[in-house]
Amino acid sequence: MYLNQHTLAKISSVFSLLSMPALLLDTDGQVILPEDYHKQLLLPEQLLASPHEPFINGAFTLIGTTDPEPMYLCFSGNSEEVISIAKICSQLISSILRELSQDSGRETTIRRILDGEIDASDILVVANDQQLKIEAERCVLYAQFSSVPAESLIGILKDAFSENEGDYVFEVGRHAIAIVKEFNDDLEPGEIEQYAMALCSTLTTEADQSALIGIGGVKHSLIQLHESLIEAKKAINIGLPFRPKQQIFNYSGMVLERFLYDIPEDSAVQFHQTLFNKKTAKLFSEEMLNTIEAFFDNSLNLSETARKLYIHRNTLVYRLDKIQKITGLDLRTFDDAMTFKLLMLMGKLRKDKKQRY
Amino acid sequence: MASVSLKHIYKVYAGGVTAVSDFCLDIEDKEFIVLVGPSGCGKSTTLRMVAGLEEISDGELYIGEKLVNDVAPKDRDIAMVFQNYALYPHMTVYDNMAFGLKLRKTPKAEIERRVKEAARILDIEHLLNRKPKALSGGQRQRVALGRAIVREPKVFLMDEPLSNLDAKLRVAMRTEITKLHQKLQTTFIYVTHDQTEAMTMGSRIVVMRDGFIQQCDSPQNLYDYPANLFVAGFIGSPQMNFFNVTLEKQGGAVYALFGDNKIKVPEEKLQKLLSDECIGKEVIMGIRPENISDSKEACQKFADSTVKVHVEVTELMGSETYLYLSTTGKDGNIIARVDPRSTSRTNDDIIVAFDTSRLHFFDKDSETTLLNR
Repeated sequence: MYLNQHTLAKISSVFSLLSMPALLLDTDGQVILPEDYHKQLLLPEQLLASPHEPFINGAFTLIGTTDPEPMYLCFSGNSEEVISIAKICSQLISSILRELSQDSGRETTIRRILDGEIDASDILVVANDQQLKIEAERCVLYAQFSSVPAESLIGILKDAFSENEGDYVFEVGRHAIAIVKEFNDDLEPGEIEQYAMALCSTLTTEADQSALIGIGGVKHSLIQLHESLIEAKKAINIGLPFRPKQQIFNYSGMVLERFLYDIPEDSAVQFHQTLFNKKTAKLFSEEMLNTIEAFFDNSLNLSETARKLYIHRNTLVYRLDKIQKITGLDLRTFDDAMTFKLLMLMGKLRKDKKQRY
Repeated sequence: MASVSLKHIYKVYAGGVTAVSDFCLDIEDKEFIVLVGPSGCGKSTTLRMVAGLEEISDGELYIGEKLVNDVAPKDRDIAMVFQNYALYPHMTVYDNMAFGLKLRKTPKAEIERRVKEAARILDIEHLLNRKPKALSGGQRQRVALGRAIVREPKVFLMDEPLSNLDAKLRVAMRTEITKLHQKLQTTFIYVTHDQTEAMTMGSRIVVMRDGFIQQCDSPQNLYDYPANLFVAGFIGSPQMNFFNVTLEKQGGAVYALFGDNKIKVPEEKLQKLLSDECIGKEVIMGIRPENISDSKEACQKFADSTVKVHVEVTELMGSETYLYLSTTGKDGNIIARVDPRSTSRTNDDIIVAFDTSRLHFFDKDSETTLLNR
């Protein structure tokens, strides 16, 4: 049974109230708590046969928890007092574990909603059964990894999310994980990109993994989580051709990219070629295109772009003048910059579609 | 704390693009080394290879005495700080700093000790209960540094950590990071494209271009003795002025000739020439803006190395004035950094003197320096 940090913290707080050392062991006798006590004990047959009966083993008292799946407790001492403390702890910790198991019932339900297996007519009943809020601001993050199996990262992500009620983490493919995030006073929808960036950074530093994260739209009803997951996946698919170096793609902020994605390919090619053709091929070198993208990324700010590219401001002005001379578009003006950007994006999309099919 | 040794490191991407070539560098324990160069020069790739985020195509990487080519990043005992400080918005500063340690199952008391110690070093103890949105950009970057410090790594790797901050804050944080290095006494490897950052922070600087190390030296030596034209132009702002000149012997002296101008090369410079073969040939002469003066005293002192120029533009910077000058035999402007009380005005025709003890000469083909130190 996987115990998240939240559950471990609850059990630790029970142990901290005791006047004697205590251990929490799994079914194999591996010590789970204290977390820095890396040992495995041999559990006596008699204990395994009837876990609910306290078992005295020399100077120690052992006892199992009740349902759903037994865990074992080991206390230092064998007096009457220790035995009764062992019984009380067994009951207490069993109820903590039952709560966790109930959470896993909720997890199954949320997972079915994500998969689109529950329809709107059933949602009220299902939500009531599992005591889930129907109305709440939530969104789905979809994290995609290039090689590592998702199951190896699920533990890290569960630890990162387990303290927030209303957050759920699921493996949704061999290399993908979905995270359902509920917004509250601590996290507003506007902060979700920052949240995803922190997640990327955690995966890099703690699991050596580079991830692509798609963020689905913020939804107000539980039933819409399925839609948010689809949007999160789409965000990566649509966003990646336009910004191949980016790791985070927020569906709600990609209106332009979504619009262009839906344009028929023939039209996109035609428009793209009005600007990018034989006549301009020499002008639009990789360096020139990087310059233009940086200029757009820095909101047409000459000084900031020059600083970021580490070129003199005059060099940038010279390059923009050259573009204006050959294409007639002055990228320092909003309308021309917008025209250029649209035509450039159409080209990226075309290239990506060609590579895919 | 540890030394880092990169031995003949290469990074070749699928498709054959070589991002880093034959990178050899020994970084001493507690050293603050800065990798600097323009975009695409391979500095970040090198750092990411040290971090383990990029695979090394060839060569050996040692952290301390240990070969770490195949060691996972989290087991390399390094901590990385990126330009994007990526803090969890719903967590307090304390929780953000403690998060990595929690994931590594560090005991609570130890987490508390490390977080409080890092907060004390960074002077952010009063911010521990705040959420990131209640912090300024500089404070957030400090928290990101704190998150790295609590891991107590052997080596800190920083990839342009200040480039998201505004100009004023960047200057302030520059000093903070230098102080931090002094306090922590740990090896720092810092990547930037900003030569001012490199010059002010590094105990040694590695200048890179197109995946190759151009020069590795102390900031002062890089400035005074650039190994090639690229380093000479890259280090220093405004950048060094370059002239295509012919070195010609006339009456026992050697002159650098360009356009109608004639600069006498002093004897001490001639003695430093790597070879006499360049005399009589075309070379590139360099001089930094602060070594060109329009003052009477300088023109008298360097009477045989004066140039007639036309003042195109003057820029008063407060503590100094930049003169943008044109003359025969030089495409583009010459920049001179002169006294702010200079009387030179736009469209004046004036005479400026070159401090010839500060001249640099580079081979026209190989672009390497022609001078000994």
